[in-house]
Formats: sequence, C-alpha cells, structure tokens
Amino acid sequence: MTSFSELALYFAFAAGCYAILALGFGVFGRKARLVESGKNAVMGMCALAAVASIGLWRALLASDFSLEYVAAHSNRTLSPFYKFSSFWSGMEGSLLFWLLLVSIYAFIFVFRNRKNPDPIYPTTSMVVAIVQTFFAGLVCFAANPFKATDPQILSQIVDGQGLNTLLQDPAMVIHPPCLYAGYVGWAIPFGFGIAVLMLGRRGSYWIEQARLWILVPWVFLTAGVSLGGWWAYKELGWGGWWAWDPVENASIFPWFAASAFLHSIMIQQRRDMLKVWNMVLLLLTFFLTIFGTFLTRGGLKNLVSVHSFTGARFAYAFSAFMVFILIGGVALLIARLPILRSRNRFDSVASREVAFLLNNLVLLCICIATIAGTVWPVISVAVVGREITVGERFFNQVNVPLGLVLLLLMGIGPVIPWRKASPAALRRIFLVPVIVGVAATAAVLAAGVPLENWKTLLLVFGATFTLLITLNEFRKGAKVRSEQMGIGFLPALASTVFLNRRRYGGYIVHIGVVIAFVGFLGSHKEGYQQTRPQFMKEGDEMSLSSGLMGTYTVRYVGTEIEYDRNDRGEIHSVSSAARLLLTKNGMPVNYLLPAKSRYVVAGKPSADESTEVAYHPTLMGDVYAVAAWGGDDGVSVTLFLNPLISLVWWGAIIAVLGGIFCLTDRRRVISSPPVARPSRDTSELAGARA
Amino acid sequence: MFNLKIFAVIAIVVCGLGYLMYSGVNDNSQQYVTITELSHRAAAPADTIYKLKGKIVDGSVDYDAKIPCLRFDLNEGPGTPVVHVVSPELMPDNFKPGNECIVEGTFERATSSFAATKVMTKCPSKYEGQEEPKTASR
Repeated sequence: MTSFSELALYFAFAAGCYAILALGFGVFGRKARLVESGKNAVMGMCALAAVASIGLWRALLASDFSLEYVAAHSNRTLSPFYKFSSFWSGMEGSLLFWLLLVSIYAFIFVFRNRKNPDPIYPTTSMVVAIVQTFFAGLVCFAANPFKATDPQILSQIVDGQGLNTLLQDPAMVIHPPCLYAGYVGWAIPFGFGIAVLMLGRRGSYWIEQARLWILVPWVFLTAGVSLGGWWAYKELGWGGWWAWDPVENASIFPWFAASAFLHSIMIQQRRDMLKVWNMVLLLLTFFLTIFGTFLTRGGLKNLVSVHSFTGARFAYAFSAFMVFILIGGVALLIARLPILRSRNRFDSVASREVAFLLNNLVLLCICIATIAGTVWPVISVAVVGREITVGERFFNQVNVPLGLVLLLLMGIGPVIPWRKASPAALRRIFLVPVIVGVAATAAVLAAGVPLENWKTLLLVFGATFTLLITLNEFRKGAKVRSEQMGIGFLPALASTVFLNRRRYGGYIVHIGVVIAFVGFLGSHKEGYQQTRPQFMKEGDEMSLSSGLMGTYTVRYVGTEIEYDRNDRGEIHSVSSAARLLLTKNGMPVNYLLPAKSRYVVAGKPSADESTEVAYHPTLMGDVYAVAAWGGDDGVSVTLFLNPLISLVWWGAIIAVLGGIFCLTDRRRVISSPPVARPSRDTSELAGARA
Repeated sequence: MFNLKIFAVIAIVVCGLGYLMYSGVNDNSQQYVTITELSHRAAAPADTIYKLKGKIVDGSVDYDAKIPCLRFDLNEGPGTPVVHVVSPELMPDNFKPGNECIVEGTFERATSSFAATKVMTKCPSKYEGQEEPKTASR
C-alpha cells in the first residue's frame, strides 16, 4: 500500500509535467485534443495526490512506523482524531497536503469549466499545473513522506515520538487545512491573471469569471488566520493570541494583499481603472503565499522564531520558484502594459475610487510594514552589516495607526459617491455619523479615558462612525424596498439583503472587522488587559480588577491529578491541575483548572510538560489563568483579565460568514464589457474542437 | 491637476508609512547576536536590547517558582562560550536541557549575566527538520 502510494506521487509529478505541456501546446497551438488531454492529466493528478494522501493517512492511523514520518509524528496512544491531523504536522506531510489541496482546487476548476470553450480556462489550468508540479516535485524528490525507517532503527522502535502536545488541540485540526486552503487557493486567481496577460485580454470580464475563485481562498484565509489566533490564545498560555512572530506574520501577509485586491477589482469592474495595479496585487498575493510557505519552512535562516524552522532545506528550490513567479509575472505584465491602459482617470479626490485606492494603499502599507519587520534581520545584515530584529512593539507601533485609518476608510469607501462627491453630498452622508462618533468619543473621555490614550479615543470614533454608516446602508435599502413593495421593514430588510448578497455580504464583513478591532484594543496588553502573577499556597487568594469586567478573585483550593484516556481506554496524558475557585463580588462563579500535562508515550509520561490554559468566558471578557509548579508547597498562578476578547472571535466569525454570504451571490456583473479581440480566440478553439 | 492631488495623497500615505517605520525601528530594535559574539564584546552598552538564541546547558537550570526566578546557562553547543541568564518569568513549556531557547533582554557586564525580559522555547508547531526518530522509545 505504501509503495503504491509513493508510486502515485511520482505519477502525479509526471502527470503534472504532461499537463503543462499538453495545455500549453494545446492552447497556443490550437489543438483541442491536446487541451482535453491536458485537462484530464490535471484531474488525474488530483486522483493520484489523493491516493498518496490516503496512503499516508492509512499509515498514520495504523501506526505504521516503517515510515519515518509516522514514527516521528505519531504514536500508538494518539487518538484517531489527532493521528489524522498529524498528516500536516511535519514538513513532508504538510507539503503533500499542499499538493493535495491545490490538486483538489484544480480538479474542481477543470471539472466545472470542462465544457467551456473559452481558452482562459485551460490557460489558467496550465498555470495551476505548474504550481502543482512544483509541489509534486518537492514531495517526490526532497521531502518524501514515504521514506522508510532504517530497518535497524525500526526493529528497536516500541512507539513513535508522538504528535507535539501543543498540536493536540481541535483548533489545530481545523486551522492548518483552512489556512492552506486559503494559501493554495490563490493559485487559481493567479492563474487567471497570468492567462489574461498571456491571451492579451483587454476587458475586465475575467474578474467575474474568477470571482468565485478569489472569494473562496479569501474566506479560507480569514478563517485560517483567525483560527490560528484562537489556538494560540487557548493553548500557548501567554494570555494573548497574536505575537507578531515570523510564522504568524507569514500567514497574514497574503491576507493584506488579497484584501486590497478584493477592493480594487471593484474599481476596475466599475470604472475600468487600476488594471495594472490589480495585476500587481494579484501577483503579489500569490507570491506572498509561496513566500509564506518558504518562510515557515526556514527559508530565511536569519529569522529567529519561537516556532521551529527547518533550516533552509528547500531554500534553493523555493527561491528559484519565487524568482520564476516574480520575473515571469513582471515580464508578462510589462509586455502587456499597452492593453492594460485604463480608459478612465480619477475625477476627484472626494470620490469612491480614491477612497478605495487609499484603502488599498493602507492595506499595502500594513503588509509592507509587517514583511519589513519580519525580515528586518535579513535587511539589516544587508544594509548595516549587523543583525537587528524588531519586536512585537514595532508591529503595534506601525500597524495600529494604519489600522485606525483603515477603520475610517471602511466607513467612507462604500458610501461616498463614484467619480466626484459634492460638498453637499459629503455633508448629507457623513455629518450625522461624525457627530455621533464625536459624541461617543466625548462620552468615553467623560468616563475617564485620558487624552493620552488616543488610540482608544480614535478607535471609539472610528468604530462608531463606520458601524453607523454601515448599519444605515441596511436601513436605507430596507426603507426603499419597503416603500416600493408595500411590505414591512423587517421583510423588506431580509429581501433587500438576500437579493443583494454581494453588496451586503461585504457590509457584513466590515461589521465583523469593526467588532474585531474593538476586541483587539480591549484584550491587548497595550490596551486594557490586566495581568498578575502570584505564588499561591492552599487557601491563598488573588484579586484582579478591570474597569470593563469588574473585580475577580481566585482562591487556590489544591492540586488535582487528572488522567485523560483515549477512545480505547488507555491513559493518554497525566495532568496536574490547580483548582482555583473564581468569585466575583464574593459570589462563586466557576472553578478554573489551569494545568500542566505530560503525554504518555510508550507507556510512560514524557519529560515535556505542556501548559493547559483555563479560562472563564463572560460577555465582557475572559478570566484566564495559567499555573506552574516549582515547589511542593504551592503553585505559581498568572491571572489575566482579557476584556472584550470574545469580540475578536465574533468579529472573525461575522467576517467569514459575510464572505460566505457574498459567495452565494452568483450573478455576474458586467460593468466593463470585454473588448473584442482579434487574436486567437474562443471561437478558434471552439472551431478546433469541432 | 487631479492627478497631482492624487499623487499628493499617495505621497502623504507613503511618507506616513516611512515615518512610522523609521520611528518603529528606532524605538524597538533589538540586536541579534550570537552567544560567542556577546561574550567577546568588551563593552556591551547596558541599554542595548539583545536577542540571543542558544541551547539550555544541562545541569544549569535553577528555578524558584515562588519569586519567580529562572536561572540557566545558554550555549551554542559543547565547548562554546556560555552566557548565564536570569529571568523573572515562569518557566515556559518545553524548557529542558538541550532544547533551543530564545531570550530577549540586556547584558549586565558587572555580573556577567543576561537579564532576560522574555524567555521563549522553540514551539515545534511548524516544520522541524526531519531527523532520525532518535527520541523514539526503544
């Protein structure tokens, strides 16, 4: 079975090579049968990647330690749930997973468009096949998960090394697949962009053709990044959820570029502008997904991260692929500049186009600052000859002001008129939201927030302003429909939103982002997070207060030993848990059980301890505790109050749901009609097929 | 004319980013040095924030959770210079001799010790280099 799976990988690589050639020669040599054959090879590649993946999953579930990968990332007592997720917990498996996901995307893409004669589809498939083949090559020749364990070592192995304890969390089962689906999915929009340039398409209709393939990875990326934060929060035990670590940053680079792209294509569709800019953003987004993959696999050896890096094993292969994408993409872009010329210009600074452009610039600035901060050790060596890193505070210092500007633009952009807004229109649209925003800010000032805390004041203004404008859009739409159709407000609201899912889905995403922004500030250590460490003996108490959450007290009751068993009844982990009675205003609220766990490998608890966080969620924030034992007579407890933290998760959920809601609107908007092309065209290929 | 205004808007954004990044780097930069480099620096400025990476030396860990105070030595391998680290932090997960550790803080020449404000052990949540499964129980 295993050798069969490995063979499938080699066949997948061969199928990828064939697909590139067949689709390339088929499209540009106008040979329809070759195109069909190439499409079949792409679909076959998916089947082969699936066979290889099933082989690895089977080996993991069966604890087949004859494979090095299984011995290194799994063990017998691991539950099937985590055996399943150990597939992507190591280098080799994660690259195979990359290949599997991009192959699934490619399969669906080819299958859905198999009867469409437009050459943009096979050309896109060819570009995606290049990406698939690169990863298939890596998995076959550099990071083969089917590498056999040395027979001498195998004969001595009693059990595998097990899955890292930090990864034994439900969020870690969902987070990597979501993030990967967000990463690899950009291969298809990138393929569209390259196909547009290769075929010399002048219009913007391709954006509609690619819309589904743009939104799906954006939704996955948003969900993946958010789940990563949620996992860090409840698993790592430092009280926060985002530390601007290089590996974390790598996951969010493409999100910034992708979000900028999602906004600026609206201008291209509506005004036939920013065509070159959009191509740049598309190339950048895909480039950053590959760069992120490269970075998390130790591509830049100067980076110091708390996450393990592999030490540049594939640096040359990844570097070559990135240079290929960059040079190939930019060269093609330059060659096609004449057909990407915009038909319109900016008419006024006070216009939706400029608001969207500013939104793009700010998102790109955040992206650039995050990349620069992440690779600063590399830049500093090149520039000043010394390795300098910038810490978490750098990212907050640069990105928070930019984020606040973005918050305001989220309110302005969707409602300011296209082309030119008159002063009267600006007053009509923005006067009330500005007054309400100022009033809310004044109320917060009156409540005791000092002027020095300008971030809070600006956030209150920006969030109120943007939320009011966005909610007013719902109200206005429902009111018009209610008057037109003679129905009640709520039915009118429901039908308006349902009939314009693309538009209102975007507003829902904005509402989610605003809510998450409030949660960011409330729960951040530079915001309103409270923390206190204390060594506690039985009966000791510790209190912590927050203006938003009130005063909480914990009393250390004692230490308990807990045994966690797997589905076969075997002991999987042993935990020492500090029982803390949580009270608020003297009234018992809950017990918190922060713990240290040791996972059982080969019948014995491992030497490694992992922190198990305990938290009590409330509407206004979480009471969060971690414990550490350093002596026989007590426990060190660190207590955190994280105000408004739930808003971060709710904001993310709402943003993801908004994106999904957008996706369900399948109507195509043709604002900027395609220009007839004299070159090899659909009709030619269709003719060749006939 | 309008293009000039647009250009001005773009210039303001770019200059804003430049300023934020310049001040951000100035205020928050930490020098990454190897333990060997640090141990050879005759006069390390007391206010310079350093970032060090090394391995926790076997037998050097002294931990008192009551204070809390974590003391240990870091080196880059057998026979390489050692730096003594003192931290007021709780012992992090995966903290054990031989494991890689990253510390941030200042170097106090008088006591020849590194006052760490942050101690981070490597979180193997990502993609380690594949080695022989040598720690597998046999």
